[in-house]
Amino acid sequence: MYKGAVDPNFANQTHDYNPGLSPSGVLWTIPDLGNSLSVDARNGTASMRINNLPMLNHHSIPNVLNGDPRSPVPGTVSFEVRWQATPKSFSVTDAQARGYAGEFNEANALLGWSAKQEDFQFTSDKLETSSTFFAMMGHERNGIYAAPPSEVPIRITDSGFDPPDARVAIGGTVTWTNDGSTVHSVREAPGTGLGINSGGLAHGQSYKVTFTRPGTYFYTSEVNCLNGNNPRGFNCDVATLTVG
Amino acid sequence: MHHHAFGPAAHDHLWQRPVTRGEFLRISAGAVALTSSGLWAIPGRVLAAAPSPAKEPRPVSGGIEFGPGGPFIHIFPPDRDADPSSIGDFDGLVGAAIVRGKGTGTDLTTGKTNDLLFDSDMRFMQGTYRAVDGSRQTGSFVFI
Repeated sequence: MYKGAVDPNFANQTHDYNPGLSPSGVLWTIPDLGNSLSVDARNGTASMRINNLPMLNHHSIPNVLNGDPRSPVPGTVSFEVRWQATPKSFSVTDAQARGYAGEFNEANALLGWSAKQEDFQFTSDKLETSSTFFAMMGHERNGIYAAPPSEVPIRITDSGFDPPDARVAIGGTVTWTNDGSTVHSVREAPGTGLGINSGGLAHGQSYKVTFTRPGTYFYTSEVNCLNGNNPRGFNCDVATLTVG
Repeated sequence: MHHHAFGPAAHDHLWQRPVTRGEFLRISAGAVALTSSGLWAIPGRVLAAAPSPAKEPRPVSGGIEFGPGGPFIHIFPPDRDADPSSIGDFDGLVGAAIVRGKGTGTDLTTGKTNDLLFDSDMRFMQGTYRAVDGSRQTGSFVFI
């Protein structure tokens, strides 16, 4: 909210409620624990409604992005958002260049919301009176799901494979390296038919495979998990490798 | 909720007239045909509990610098040419909306009220993601 006319540099913004950064660094994003989100992909609609969500008023976007030199004030926020897809569809296909791909529709959206803190409250007019400046809906893939890398390193530690789920491009190469203190191995799950079998890998040894057949494959450490001698807490949940 | 909640004297070019209920329903009626194309897949189950730190999503890899020399934030402004997700290594349904409207702010100490305009960026993500620990997870997330 602003005192007077909007300053494009947020100089007169007085309120900005947001959930902050997650420990992993995701901006202003929280899990939907209350099943507040409802998405009907077939009909191109979505809605989310949350009531009395505790949230800090950071006063302004520059304030929060610069570490909150002005202390935030606790409050609560309630809101309802509705999306409705329009017939205007578009696709993003050049995932390698843009880092994501997807199929989308432009949308219309409506929002009604309120906020309350110790000395201030805001209540929007009815949701139906709001208007869309820009909205979209769709199905997207980004990161490894959009543009899988051609070279994938996977560490083997004494507690398991890191990462336990990996993705590599068709024709790409995966290199497993034993960074643990004891012997480990890489062995495909029975029936996979890829011939993945590193045999025992001592500390520092690697095993490299190039994958040309798309699919999702499962593997584990034979040394630790298939021979029944897993005294050191190696995670024997099957690891996953997706090709393509 | 980045209620860039604009005051009454907001720049006109930042404001669009409200979409009426009738307009919204008319537009909505045309949406069935396009979404029945099957382009959107249905994601998996959603989270029942908060993810542990190791199971949290990662930020989207790209982003913008907030002003010259300012902090880098892992998000793109909603646009046809920008990734709407705030989560990286993500495969699922996504929605983004910049919605504008008006409302009333009240000083609870004095009782004084002001007409205010808002401009909010709201998004959702529902689907599969690769967590901090490299595992594959499913969940729903809200960008506020």
